[in-house]
Amino acid sequence: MEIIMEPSIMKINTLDRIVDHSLKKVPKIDLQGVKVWYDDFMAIKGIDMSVKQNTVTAFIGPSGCGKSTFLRMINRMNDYVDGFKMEGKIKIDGDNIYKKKVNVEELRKKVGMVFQKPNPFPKSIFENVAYGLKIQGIKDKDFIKERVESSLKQVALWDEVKDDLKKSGMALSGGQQQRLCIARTLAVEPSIILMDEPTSSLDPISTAKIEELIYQLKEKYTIVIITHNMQQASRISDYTAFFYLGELIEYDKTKKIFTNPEKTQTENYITGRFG
Amino acid sequence: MNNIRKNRWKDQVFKIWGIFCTLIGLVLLVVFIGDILIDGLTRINWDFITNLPSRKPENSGIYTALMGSIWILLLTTIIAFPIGVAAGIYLEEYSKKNRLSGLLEINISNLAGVPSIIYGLLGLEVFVRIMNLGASVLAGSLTLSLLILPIVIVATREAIKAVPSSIKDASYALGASKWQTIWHQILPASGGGILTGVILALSRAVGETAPLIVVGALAYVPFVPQSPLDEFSVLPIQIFNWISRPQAGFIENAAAAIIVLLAITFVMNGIAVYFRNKWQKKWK
Amino acid sequence: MQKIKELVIERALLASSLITIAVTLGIVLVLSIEAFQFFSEVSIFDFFTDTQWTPLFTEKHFGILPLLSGTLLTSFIAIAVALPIGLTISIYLSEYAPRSFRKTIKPILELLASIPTVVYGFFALIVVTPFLQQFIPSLSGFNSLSAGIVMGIMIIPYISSLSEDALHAVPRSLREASFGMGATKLQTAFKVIVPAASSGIIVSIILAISRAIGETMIVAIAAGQQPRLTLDPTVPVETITAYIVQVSLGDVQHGSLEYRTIFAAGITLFVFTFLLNTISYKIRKKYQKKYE
Repeated sequence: MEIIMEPSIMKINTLDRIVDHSLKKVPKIDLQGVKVWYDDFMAIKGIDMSVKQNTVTAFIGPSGCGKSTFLRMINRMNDYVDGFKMEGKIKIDGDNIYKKKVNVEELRKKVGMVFQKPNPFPKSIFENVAYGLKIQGIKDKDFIKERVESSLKQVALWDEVKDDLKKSGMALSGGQQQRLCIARTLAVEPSIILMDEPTSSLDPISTAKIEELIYQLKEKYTIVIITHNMQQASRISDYTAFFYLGELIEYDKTKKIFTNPEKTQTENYITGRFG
Repeated sequence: MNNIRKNRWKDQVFKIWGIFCTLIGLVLLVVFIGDILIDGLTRINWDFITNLPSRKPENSGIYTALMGSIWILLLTTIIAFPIGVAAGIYLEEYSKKNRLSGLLEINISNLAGVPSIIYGLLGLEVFVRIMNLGASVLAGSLTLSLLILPIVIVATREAIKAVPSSIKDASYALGASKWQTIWHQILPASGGGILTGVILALSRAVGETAPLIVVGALAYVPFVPQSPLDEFSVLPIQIFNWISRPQAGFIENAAAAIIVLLAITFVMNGIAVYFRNKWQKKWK
Repeated sequence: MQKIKELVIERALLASSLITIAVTLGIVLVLSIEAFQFFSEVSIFDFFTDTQWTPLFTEKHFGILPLLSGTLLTSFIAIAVALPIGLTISIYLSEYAPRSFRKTIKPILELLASIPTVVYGFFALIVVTPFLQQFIPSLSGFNSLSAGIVMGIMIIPYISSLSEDALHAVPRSLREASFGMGATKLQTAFKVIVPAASSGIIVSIILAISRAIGETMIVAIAAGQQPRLTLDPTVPVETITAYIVQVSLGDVQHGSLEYRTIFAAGITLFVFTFLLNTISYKIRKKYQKKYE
């Protein structure tokens, strides 16, 4: 195993290898020794990982392996779960987001999230996209209008809905709803977008559109995506992390994971022998 | 073979008995409303609505009682609605699973089962005597507010529970705070359900008699309340008073007043059902 | 700023929910303080053993038994009417009736529970008693029979609706297992579904009993105002609730012994319903866990 030693890296683990040290800057997301409990159940058993800026990282693994819990750690969505406890540090741009003083609402503006099933608010298309701005107290109508338009354009939904922005977001098709939800997330200008199986409830055509969108969004955002679809992971991601029973089994460049994984467990999962 | 035939026969007999029992409830409802309509419908006219109570049945009207009921309805809404909805929101969205939330839960379930007349005794001692409000509209409304509080709380919780958690997640993920999420997403989405529950609770309050008698509401009030501290009567008490009189004319009055009371109750129930259907459609 | 606002709101919401605790404390305190003063003047032994209740007469007796018997007698008649009919309806609606019929009939039956009780009182006194007098000439104008029957009609939906919910919640697989062995709907209902839903049914019955014991206006109007230790359903009786109404209608001085009698009667009523409600709550909680 090849390990690049550098004086600035105090902690040596297998992951150091994939951190791009040539950039000489802190990783976008840096997770250190993360452990999570729900009451007595240990969901995450100590994971270190770092994610580079402007990349797409795919989380794969069988259901219940902890990948969804792990993803939700990054925007602190587990805070409201009964019996939730955690240990370790999660740094975004070098700042620990689980420090006491951190404003969770501010954090979530920076770290957007797209969910498994499209979940538009039971409001108009316009209100859906404008919601994130309005709760920030922004009242400038022209600004909001502009932002709604540019967000809808980014997800290629603008031409389809520009004439009925007042229509309920729930009246759109599944694929359109999911793009609306992505537009809603983009409107608050996050730097990271977390996606929890965003295409699992969509038809193949809508899925293709979302995948294309993810590819474009990479230029401006850092994306972490959970997927159950191996082809999807290999198509869209730069890095892939394989989770099993609350542990990170393997994390590497996607190409490497899918062509020559280090661990037999990873290989078995990818080739469909279990999970 | 014989045994099977016997079982099938029993099955049929029970089915018929089931239909009979179900229909008997409906038949009684019809008989009952029909009888009251026959007794009272001819008595209802504009004078009956606008006349003050009187010693003579033919001159008596329900004006003061009707106005009293409207006063009670308004004040009870003002008091019970915000408190009940607030408590419901707290229990559903804020309270963690601990001893306090367990205590609140069992307590509310118990309060819902306390006989209404006991609330009357509470109101008599606390609002009428200690707070010195007298037998006023305010004392009556406060008493009825406590009575319907558990119903409003339970209805609020049910309505909030029905809002999909994905809506909450989406709001939090966009950086909304807890209260922003409740105010902008949860309450608008559960509003129909909450409204249904509140209207049903209020329709119960309009029909309540016993607690108001205990609080000291009068059977004979020759004036309409001008302020929350005035004495009052309500429709059910007026009906009770007329039923207790021997003259046939008053029985007719009672039936007529019952028609008015039932109309109010059924209209409120109808509105509640309308809101519920409208609201349920939204999630389908 | 935002944090402070959030905190203030949370505290206000918490305060609202704590009002419910204050209400319970208020009820317990008010009833026990007044009742305590009552029992400083009247021996608790007499209260539970004296067979006469005449606080408003010159010769005063303070035995709760006649009021208690009146309450239990009217409640018993009500349950005797509501239980068989209510349970049959629930089984019929859940196991036999077509879905659409069930969906229309349930809200209509629930309408029975939304009718103000003073209206039922009118019905019992003006319609049911004269009707029954055709068959039972000795029936007095005020009696526990018609009050009890009408109260029973009122609580039918309490039993039918809640029991139907419990029956409906029994998993389909149990029904199919029974049908698959050649059982009829009736056999399936009584041998499989009802036992499986028994806790829910028991809860509905307990709540109905609690409702009957606390019911006021029907008995105050149609059962009379004569405290009497009897099981005869044809004569006037007085329930605890009707007594409280009777005193409240009169002009009783605050702080007098007569005034305190309604609190002594009230605490007796409260203890009964409190026990019933607590039992039903416990059963419900246990039952919820079973199916979750």
